[in-house]
Amino acid sequence: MPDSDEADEAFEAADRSSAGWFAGTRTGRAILSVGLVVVLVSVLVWNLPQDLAVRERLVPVVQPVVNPLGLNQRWELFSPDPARTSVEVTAEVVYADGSTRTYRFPDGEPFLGALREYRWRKLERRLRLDSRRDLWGRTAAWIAAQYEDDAAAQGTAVASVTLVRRTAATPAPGSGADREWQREEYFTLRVPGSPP
Amino acid sequence: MTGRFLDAWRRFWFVPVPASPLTLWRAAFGLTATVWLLSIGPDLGALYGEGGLAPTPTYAPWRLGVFQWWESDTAIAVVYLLSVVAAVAVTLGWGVRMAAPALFLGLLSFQLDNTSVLNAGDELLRIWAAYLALYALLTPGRCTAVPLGGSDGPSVTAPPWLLRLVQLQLTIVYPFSVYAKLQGDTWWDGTAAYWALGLEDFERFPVPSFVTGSEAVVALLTWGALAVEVLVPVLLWIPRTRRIAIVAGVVLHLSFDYALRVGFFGWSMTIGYLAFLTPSEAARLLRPFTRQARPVPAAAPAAEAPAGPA
Repeated sequence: MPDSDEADEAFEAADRSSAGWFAGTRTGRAILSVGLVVVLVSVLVWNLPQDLAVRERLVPVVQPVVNPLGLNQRWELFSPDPARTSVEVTAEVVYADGSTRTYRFPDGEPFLGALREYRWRKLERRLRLDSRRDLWGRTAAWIAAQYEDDAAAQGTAVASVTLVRRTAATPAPGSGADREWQREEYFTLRVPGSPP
Repeated sequence: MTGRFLDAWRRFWFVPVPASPLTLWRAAFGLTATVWLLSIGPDLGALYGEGGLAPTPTYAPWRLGVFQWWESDTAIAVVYLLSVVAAVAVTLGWGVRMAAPALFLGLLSFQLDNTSVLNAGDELLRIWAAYLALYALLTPGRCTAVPLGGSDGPSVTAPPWLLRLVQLQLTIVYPFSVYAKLQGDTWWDGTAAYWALGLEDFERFPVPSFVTGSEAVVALLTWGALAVEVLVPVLLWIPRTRRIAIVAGVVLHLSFDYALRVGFFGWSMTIGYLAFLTPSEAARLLRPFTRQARPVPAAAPAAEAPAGPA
């Protein structure tokens, strides 16, 4: 078996064109090797259990790698347990003339449509949370804007948008019980400039 | 000893192998990224526009993302169009050295601009984009850019480090996923599949009632999913069990995709599994897209190894 230096030279001579301008040189391979190890270690550190003290210490160290490359994914799908509550967020849009409309986020067919609509389902799940109040005002304002033309055509304007969350716990296995939906109005945006 | 380790290291990451797995992987990723981008098209203004529903994001240190520096509807439109062009180019193998980094930056920019609509599949797609971008920048154009429909695909070789990175990423995430699941109760008592399938807002295609109505079937699905996640990272690296592991993993994720609205999660995971195909398996899958299919050259030392460890 050739020693490593000979192997390196043979490799470089034969395969530089395939390995590329960087990985085709010994220095390039060394740098790339370090980079690959750093990337993999960073992914490992990022995925360590959140309650580990060592993760807390190491995350700032790996952030310069994880953040620019967008490697900040944690593998916790359906963990530690799948959610047990179905969710729907809608909005009650009230016009200045007292009439109302109900807004629902896009929903539709399960084939190609599902490749678009999962984002709206994700949004609804986050929008319902008290911890995501940062989403409430902007979302309500955006919904109000969707009704501006309709309201203007009626000779009126949007007066308010109220976000409504509907939740239903999944019945226990084998219980045969029906799902019971709870409805709660949890945020109201008064549209500035609308008639009182 | 050190010399042997270095030789093994070099063989694992750098000794060129036929480029067909890379070509297949790149085309599958490019196609998925294209569909991902097209799927945000109808909601571009709502999800990312100035008058959209997402608050202005806060960027953590070291974050890239074009919209933190250029924030307007024009920026959204320009980056979107360039990203679609880049995704198509990556799929077809045209100008990949420029297109792959551009696509990564585009995907990253949209994902960072509105994190409230992301799921794990989106994030994994972004990670694949990052790895391909790095590879495209550091390897010659010919191996990253074997065109679909081209005639010289199987004769080109390429260093396998991109596929190794994808393989290792896929391998190391499952143990973390299993660990996280085992912190709960429902994965132990066998009801996790029941609860997951019971979420109305995530329901996609109907699941027969004999599945959700039977404790035995639900337990089988729950523990079966867990078993796949435990075993696949090991079986993928054993030549005799590699194919079984690929099928088990892909079936698991496509089953989720059937039952639940999880977007591109199944697609992104399947792309990960493509990195474990051998050159001849990849060449067979590419054959309908290749003008002149030629056999994989036997000269390459690892020609029939999956770009894997065997």
